[in-house]
Amino acid sequence: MKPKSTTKLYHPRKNPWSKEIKRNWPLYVLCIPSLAFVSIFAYGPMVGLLMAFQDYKPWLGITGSDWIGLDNFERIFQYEDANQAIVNTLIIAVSKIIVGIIVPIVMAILLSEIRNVGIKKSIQTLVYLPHFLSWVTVAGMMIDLLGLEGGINHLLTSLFGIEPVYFLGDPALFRPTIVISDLWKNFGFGMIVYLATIAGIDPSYYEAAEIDGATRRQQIWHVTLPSMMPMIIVIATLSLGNILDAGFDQIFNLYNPLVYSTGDIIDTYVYRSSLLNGQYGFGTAVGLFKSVISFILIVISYRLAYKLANYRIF
Amino acid sequence: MKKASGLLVAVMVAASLIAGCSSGGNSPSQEQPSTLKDGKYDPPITITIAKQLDENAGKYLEGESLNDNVLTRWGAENLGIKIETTLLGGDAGQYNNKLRLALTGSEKLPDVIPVYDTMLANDLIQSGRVREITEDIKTYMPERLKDIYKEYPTTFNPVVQDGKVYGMAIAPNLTEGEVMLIRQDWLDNLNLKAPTTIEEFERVIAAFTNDDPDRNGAKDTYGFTFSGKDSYNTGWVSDPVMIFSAYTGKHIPRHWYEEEGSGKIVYGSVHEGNKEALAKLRDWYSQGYLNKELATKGAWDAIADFTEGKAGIIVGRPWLYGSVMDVEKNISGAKVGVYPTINGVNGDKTYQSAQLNDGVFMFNKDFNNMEAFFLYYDKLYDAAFGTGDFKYGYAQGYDYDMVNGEVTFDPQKFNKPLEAVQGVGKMAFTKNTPSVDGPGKSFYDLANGAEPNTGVLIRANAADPTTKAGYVISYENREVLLPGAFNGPPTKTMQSSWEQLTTMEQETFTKIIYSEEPIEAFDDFVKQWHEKGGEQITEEVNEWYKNANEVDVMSNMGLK
Repeated sequence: MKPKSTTKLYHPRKNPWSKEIKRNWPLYVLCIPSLAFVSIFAYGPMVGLLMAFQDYKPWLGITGSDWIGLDNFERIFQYEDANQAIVNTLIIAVSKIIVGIIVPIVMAILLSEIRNVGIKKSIQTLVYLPHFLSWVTVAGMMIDLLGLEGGINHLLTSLFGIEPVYFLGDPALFRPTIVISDLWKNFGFGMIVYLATIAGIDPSYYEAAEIDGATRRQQIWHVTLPSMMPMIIVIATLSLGNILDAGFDQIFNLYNPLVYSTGDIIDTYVYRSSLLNGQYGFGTAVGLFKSVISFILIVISYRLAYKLANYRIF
Repeated sequence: MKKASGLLVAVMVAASLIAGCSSGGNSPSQEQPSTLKDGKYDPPITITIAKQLDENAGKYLEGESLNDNVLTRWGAENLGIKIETTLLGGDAGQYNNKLRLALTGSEKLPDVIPVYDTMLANDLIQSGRVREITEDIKTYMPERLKDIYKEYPTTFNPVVQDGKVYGMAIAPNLTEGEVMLIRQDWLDNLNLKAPTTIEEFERVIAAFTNDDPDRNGAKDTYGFTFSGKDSYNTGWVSDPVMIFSAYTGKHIPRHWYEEEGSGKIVYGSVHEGNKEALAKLRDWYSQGYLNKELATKGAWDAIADFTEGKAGIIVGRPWLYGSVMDVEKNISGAKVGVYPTINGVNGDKTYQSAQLNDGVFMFNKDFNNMEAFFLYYDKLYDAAFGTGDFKYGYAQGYDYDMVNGEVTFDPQKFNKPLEAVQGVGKMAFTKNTPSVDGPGKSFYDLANGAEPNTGVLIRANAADPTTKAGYVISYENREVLLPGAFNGPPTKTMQSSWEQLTTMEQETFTKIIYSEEPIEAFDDFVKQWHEKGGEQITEEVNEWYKNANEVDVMSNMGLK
C-alpha cells in the first residue's frame, strides 16, 4: 500500500503505469514467480469448476461432456438427509467457531496474568500439544474413554452415582461432545497468537492505568482487551470462512448410526455418497457450493469489521 | 478429503486440457515381430502393467525392486517376457484417480490393467480404450484356467456389455466363509454344548451373561460381540449375519439375491424376516447379551471384547482365530473353540455373502500379446496347483526354502533367515497370489488323510489346529456362501440415492436394536426404501442383470 501512494505523489498527472514499471521494474520481475504460481495453481484449475454443471466423463473431457445445468446442485438439497446434514454442519461449525474464539481469549488473558514463568510456559506447552495429534488417534482414545465402561463414565458413577452416559451414542449429547473435544484439542494452539498480542502491548499503557488507580481487572477490561481487538477481529473474520467445515476427520471417526440425526455433516454425507466412485460433477458442485457460501460470509464479516470496529484486514 | 479431491479434480482437468492434443500419438512401434518358441519369446517382449499397491514395497531384498526382482527376472529368462509397472498407485482412491487420468490421455494406459472398482471398469469400457477379449480367451486361455473360470460365470457380469467381454476376474476363487468362535472353557464351565439353533444360541449367550462363565464371581461377561457401525453384513469379521439369515434364509442384509424360480433379483435388507431377527437382537440387547457399544464399534474394534475375555462368541473367517488367540495367553484357562454358524429357524443352514474375486483384469486396446499374458498368468498358477517350477513356492530363499531336505515356510528357519517371507506371487500382475483352494480344500484334504506334499498342503499343515479346524468347517459348509447377484457398476438411481437408502437402513436397524425406535419402524423403513428409490434401483439392477446375461458369453469364450 505505502509505496504506491508515494509514487502517486511523485507523478500526480502523467500515466502512472509505464513510468512506474520503468522505475521499479526489478520489483515487478520479483512478482512474476508468485503471480505465475497463483495463476497456474489457483486460477487455472478453476476451469474445472465447470464440471459442477456437467455429467463429467474423464475420456470426454470438459469440452465433450454433457451439460446438465444445475442438476448436481439440486442433488445436494434433494433429500431430507442432506438438508439435515447442512443444518448439523451449521450448528456444529458455529458452536465451534464461537467457543473456539472465546475460550482461547479468556485462557490467554488468564495465562498472561500468571507471574511464574515456569508454570506459565509449561501450561502453555501442555495445552497446545493435543493440536498435533491426529483425529484418528484422538478418536480412538475418545471411544474408549467415553464408552459405557470407559474412564469418564467410571468416574461419574463412582463420584456422583450417575448412570453411565452414552456420550457418542446419544443424539442430544453428540454435538456437545464434538464441540468440547475439538475445543480441548485446539484451544491451546489458538491461544498462542493471543499471547503474542498481549506480550506486544506497550507496557506504558498499564503504567498509565496504574497511576490512574485502575485495578488489575480494570486493566484487563480497558487496556488488554481493546489492544487485542484487531487480532480478535482478524481471527473471527477468517474463521467465518470455515462455517461449512464442521471437521470431517473428527466426525468421521466418531459418528455412528445412532447419531446420524445430529452428527451427520455435509462432508461425511458427501464422503459416503462418493463411495460410489467417480462422481466428479457432484463432488465439484458440493465444493463450489461450500466455497461460494464461505466467500459471501467472509465478505460480509469483512464489511462488518470495518463498519463496527473501523478495522481493515486487507 | 474435501480440498485434496477438489485440487486433484482440478489438476486432472488441467492435465486433460493440456494433454488433449497429444493423445493418440503413442501407438506401439512394432519392431521385428517376436515369436514364441519352446515356451519362450525371442526376442524378449515387454508387457506394461498397472499396479494398485506394491505390497512388497520396502520389503524387497537388497538390490531388488518393483521392476527388477526375482519374479521379473524369472519371467525374462524363462518366458522371454519382461514385466514393467508403468502406473503405480498407493491406495485405492489414488490408483483409481491415476487410471482416470490415463483415460484423459495424460498418462499412458498400460497393457494390463487390474481394476478394483466397478464404476471405473464401466468407465473404461465406455471410453472404448480397452480390449474386447472373447476371442482371446477362447484361443489363448490354457485349459486348466478355463476350468477355473467355468466355475464362476457371474464374475464376467461386470465386464460384459452388449454381449461383448471386456475383462476377466483376477484369480477367481470362492473365498473362505465365516465360522463361529466360542470360549470353549466357558461352555465347559457351564456344562453347555455349542449352539446350533437360535434357541440354543439364546440359551448360551444368556448363560454367558448371567451365570458367571469365567468363575470370577463378578458379572463382567456377556454373550455375543459384533459390529453395527457400518453394516450388519461385513462378510469378514464381527458380523451377526447368521442371526438375520436364520429368519430370512438366503435374503441376507446388504446382499442382492437372485430368487429361485422367478429369477428376479431382490435386495435382502427389505425382506420381512429381518423384522423378527431385529426383534430378537433387540431383546438380547436389552438383556445385556450383546456388545453394549456395538453401534460405535467398527468391525475390527468389536473383536477387542473377545480378546479381553469379556465376550464369549464372535463370528469371523477362520483366520480370525489368529487375531483373537491372545485371549488364551491373557487369561489362564481360556480356550477358543471353533464351530459352524447356527442353523435357521426352519432347520435350513444360515447363509453368508461370498467373495469370488478382488477386481478384474482389463487390457489396453492396443495390446496384442494376449497369448504372452496367458502364458505368464498360467505359470503364476503353478504355485497354486503345485506344478512346474513353482511346486512349493515361487522362489527358493524368498517365499520358501529347503532346509535339510525339508520344505519350510518359516522365514526364520531359512538357510539365510529373513524377517518375513517375500510375497513373490504378488510381484507380477496380481495383488493376491492366485489360489485354487476354494474355502479351504487343502485343510479338508489334510483332515481326510492327504499327504502334505505340495506347497499349498505343506503350508496348510503348518497352521495351528484351531485355524485348521475353522477352514475344514468353512470348506464343508461351502454351500452357504452366496455370491451377490449384483456385481456391476452402480446404476443411475444408485448413484443418486443408494447412500441415502443404506444410511436409513443402518440407522433404522441400529435404533431398533437399541430400543430407540419401535419394531414397527422396520415396516416404515421398507416402505420408505421402496418409495425413495429402492423400487427404481431394483428395476435397474434387474435390467443390468438381463443385459449382462442376454448373450451366452460363456459359450462364446469356449467356457461351457
